[in-house]
Amino acid sequence: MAAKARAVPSALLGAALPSSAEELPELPEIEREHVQRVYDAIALEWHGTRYKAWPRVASFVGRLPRASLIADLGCGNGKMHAACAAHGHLAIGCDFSAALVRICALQLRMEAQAADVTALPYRAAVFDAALSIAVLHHVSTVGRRRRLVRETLRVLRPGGQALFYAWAKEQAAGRSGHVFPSADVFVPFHQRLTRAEGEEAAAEHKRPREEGAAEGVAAAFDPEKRAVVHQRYCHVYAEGELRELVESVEGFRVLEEYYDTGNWCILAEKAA
Amino acid sequence: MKLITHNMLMSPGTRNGFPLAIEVESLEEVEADFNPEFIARMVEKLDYPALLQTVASLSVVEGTLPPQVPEKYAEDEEFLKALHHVLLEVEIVEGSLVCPETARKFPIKEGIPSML
Repeated sequence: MAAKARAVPSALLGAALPSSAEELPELPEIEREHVQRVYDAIALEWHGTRYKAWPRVASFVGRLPRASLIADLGCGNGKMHAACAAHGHLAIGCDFSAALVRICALQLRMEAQAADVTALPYRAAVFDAALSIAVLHHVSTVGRRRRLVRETLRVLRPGGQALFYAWAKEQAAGRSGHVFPSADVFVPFHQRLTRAEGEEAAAEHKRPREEGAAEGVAAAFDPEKRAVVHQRYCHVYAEGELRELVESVEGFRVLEEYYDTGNWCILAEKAA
Repeated sequence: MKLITHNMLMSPGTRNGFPLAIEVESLEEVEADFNPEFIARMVEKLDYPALLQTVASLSVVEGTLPPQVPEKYAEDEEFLKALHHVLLEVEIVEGSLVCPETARKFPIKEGIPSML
């Protein structure tokens, strides 16, 4: 399904924040409204359709020594959990969507916490490996992206490896159907409703969705599709941008850079 | 939350926010498969004194762990079994974690700590 992405109005972006924003502990409004709240709202539907681990991520997990301790940072609905368990690893996951963390903990019996990936709740240097899969494209400022990478580095043991995946601006034509008009985009997620839910939502969401998205409203009702349309914020990475980001944090050495299913991917190692 | 996770958890953004004190409202003991290889691998990652301190604070958990990690712990099945029980078979279901540096409280609900 071709999801139509639209450019994020610049007024909603953290670019307007002062440069000291890097140290802001507060979650930017755009991430709270257009990432955290969206995932909280769509968690169950998301889990229903996206439960399979990506093959190359699973193969990274499979190459680690047996019984590794893995940090799944931005674990979503825990789709890496089964691959980790199959190799005798223990994955500890965190995500800032409480609804997704509940799925991990209650349905998958995974060790999971609600946490911000830019301020990790773990001791330094304990994890053998870290996963940051499809997380960085939801982080809205360069300062917070760096902080995420720094925090990932901090919790890894010396010699530990991290795998970063983030959505690429360059999308192969015809595959996902995504075309990104800008580096910062709203990507709609259609949450289908039952007839009864639809009527309730129609009463709640009076505004047409075009207007809603333009004003940065996270969700609007689309009566034609009988769906709530959630606007997910994404920053899509140009070729080389993810590598530059990881390399900007001293202590990480990039081992591999590749493109996989619409994402730029970096495998990096913490200096021993 | 299992105690192995608790041994890795720290109050975010602090220097000395470890170990978090546990205020237990409800705790469960569950059964987990014993994998001596995994437990032995975890020994080098644990903060063992913090683990002992935590176990001592939870009166319901049997305190069969020795005061120090045995020298040849990888072959010490009795030790690995005791450690296995403490790390993987005790779950904090409801309660709070308290930061030793700032006294900030992080709630645990349905076994999930909220560290936001």
